[in-house]
Amino acid sequence: MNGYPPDIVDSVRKLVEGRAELEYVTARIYEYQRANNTAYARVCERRGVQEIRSWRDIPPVHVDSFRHAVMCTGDPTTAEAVFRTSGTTGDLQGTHHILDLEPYRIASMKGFEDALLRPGMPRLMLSLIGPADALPHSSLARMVSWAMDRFGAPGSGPLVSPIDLQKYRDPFLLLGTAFGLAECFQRHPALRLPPGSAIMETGGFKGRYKELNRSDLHDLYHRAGVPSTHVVGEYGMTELCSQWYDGQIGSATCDVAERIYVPAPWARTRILDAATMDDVAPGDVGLLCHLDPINIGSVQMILTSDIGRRVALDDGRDGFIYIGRASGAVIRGCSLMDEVVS
Amino acid sequence: MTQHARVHRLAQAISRLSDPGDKLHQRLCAETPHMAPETMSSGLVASLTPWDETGLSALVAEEQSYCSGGIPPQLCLVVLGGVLPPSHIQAIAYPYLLGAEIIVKHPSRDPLFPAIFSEALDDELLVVERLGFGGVWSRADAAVAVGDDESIHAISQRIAAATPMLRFGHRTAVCLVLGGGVARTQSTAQSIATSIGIFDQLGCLSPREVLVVGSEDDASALAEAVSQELAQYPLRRSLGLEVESSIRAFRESGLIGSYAIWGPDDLQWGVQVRVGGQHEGTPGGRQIIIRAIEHLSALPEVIAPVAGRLSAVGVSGGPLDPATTRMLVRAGASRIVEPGQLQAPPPTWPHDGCRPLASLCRWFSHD
Repeated sequence: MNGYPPDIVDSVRKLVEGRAELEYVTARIYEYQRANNTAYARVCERRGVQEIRSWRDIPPVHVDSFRHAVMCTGDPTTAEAVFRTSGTTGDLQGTHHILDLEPYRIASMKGFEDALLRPGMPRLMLSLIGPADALPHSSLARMVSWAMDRFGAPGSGPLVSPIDLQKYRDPFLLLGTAFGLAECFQRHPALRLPPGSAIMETGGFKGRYKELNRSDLHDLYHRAGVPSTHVVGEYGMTELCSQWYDGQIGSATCDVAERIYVPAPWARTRILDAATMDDVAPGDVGLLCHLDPINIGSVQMILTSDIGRRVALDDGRDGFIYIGRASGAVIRGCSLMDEVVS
Repeated sequence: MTQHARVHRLAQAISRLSDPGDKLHQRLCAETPHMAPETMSSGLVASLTPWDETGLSALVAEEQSYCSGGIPPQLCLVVLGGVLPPSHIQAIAYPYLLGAEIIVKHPSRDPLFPAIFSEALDDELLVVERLGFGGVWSRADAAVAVGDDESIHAISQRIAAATPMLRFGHRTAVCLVLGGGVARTQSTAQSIATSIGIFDQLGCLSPREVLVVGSEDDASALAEAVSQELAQYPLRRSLGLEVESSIRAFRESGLIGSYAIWGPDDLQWGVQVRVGGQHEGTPGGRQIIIRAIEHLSALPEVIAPVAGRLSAVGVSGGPLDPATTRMLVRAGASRIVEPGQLQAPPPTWPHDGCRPLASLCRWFSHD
């Protein structure tokens, strides 16, 4: 692995394999990032944080920071990949420089394997997400391409058109964004997937709570022959190298409103009060703040605009029920808060 | 009821809400979930005082010439969004003064206000939770909507295209400080802080940016003085996780951007300084950007992101030259005043550039 200090890379690899202490590794990464990331060092200084005693003390940067500053720990011109957020018209795109893709590959494949490669589940993988070589700035396309290359049965790959799905007789794992999947099944309502097929659904709930109802989306899957037990949600973002999953294929809970996103064993999530930045109580709603040590080359603690309900997990960590993303709209005029017309 | 009687009754109702000694005023302040009682009370007093019988009579008199020959509506739908009583009062007052029957759809986030205002008006309003029941959309011959752009668009689609409608959607305000000397006066800081503090900066008449024609030092001096003023305001209530999240993002953008920042960690208020660049705005909740611009000629470029969405401009060190005034009006501004007066428009204010009564009437030719 080039681009990162060897001891950190080694520690992170061991962390993913369950052979290193989270506190030790994240403390080492914190020191490395503070020393080699000018923008992050400034944030730490302005927050008045130098020494940390626990990963919880690590100062976060807001996800929007990737739009406003180069959040690279190291020389961004040597990046092996540059991932960019999709952005919308008029928005700045967030940019995540990855100096070395290997830690991302190792961690994302481990998470994918644990959530989606259960015994008896299909290995034929079809994707509604374009190939990585056509989408070089998409971290999702990269992860999906890796997964299909590494775990997929012969014939796995991105689809040219969703209608091609009807050609398949053997069960498969369909990978797509929530919007992509919704569009696929709404445009082709007669589409039926072979029995035993499964779906990995990612992203797509950005912007407004009311844009997409996840239960409606699962109704579409049901109509296509895929039960909710075979649909797993993946939570990730351009600014993070790890992923959060809300179940395992074949045994995912059917009550989609109660689906809990669980961090990878090497990651953590805090659910924070926006005003105080303290953890909210279990069951309460707050802002999601993620610790992702795989983010060696940027910043490992990321505060998001995502809103979730805190769920205490059996292993002492926190998971979350995803609620939505704060719109962040600044021009609200006489109606700062949305009105529901009915 | 004659128009004169309607003016009288409306003025009485409004005066009850602006009178701190009245039980309806007290109830509105005590029970509103979004604002501290003292913030709501001082906001009601400041913004509703001009809406007395004299002010309302002036509106009727001014509009008379525009309405002449027009047919006023019989049934007007008033769809309320947001949480600010003054904008809701305006939306109800316009069709009320024209003698229309009014059906008010109460704001989903603030069901309290319409009931209280209806009580102040002797139960003259029909207040409903939803407008989904049959026929009302086609029976209405006028509409007034206050809300976000998406909701107003949705309402527009449910009524006939030719139906007169006042649309009060997403808007914002700015302050303009004409010169470094003006920026360094205490009165400028006080009036700007007032315009930020009223109703916790939730309305379209609250500035989200202050543009200082001067240096970074001038902007920083003003920021410091405004901060001192804001620090004295009573605590504000949470505006909900979505807005507080946006405020947090605003604060964090200041941290990462190396901007000068004032304000407590709990986000009660916040001031950030920028030099040059374009309007960014803030999420409200007493958060403001003070931006130094080199020359007034840069103004069109600076406000380009909010062109068409400006509601008002508070000017310190004015008056503005006619060309700049025209430019701001074309960008949407319908109110240009001293900052401390931004949220106290008189009834004659052409809200969003419209003639409020005439815009609800219809005209015809009969050859």
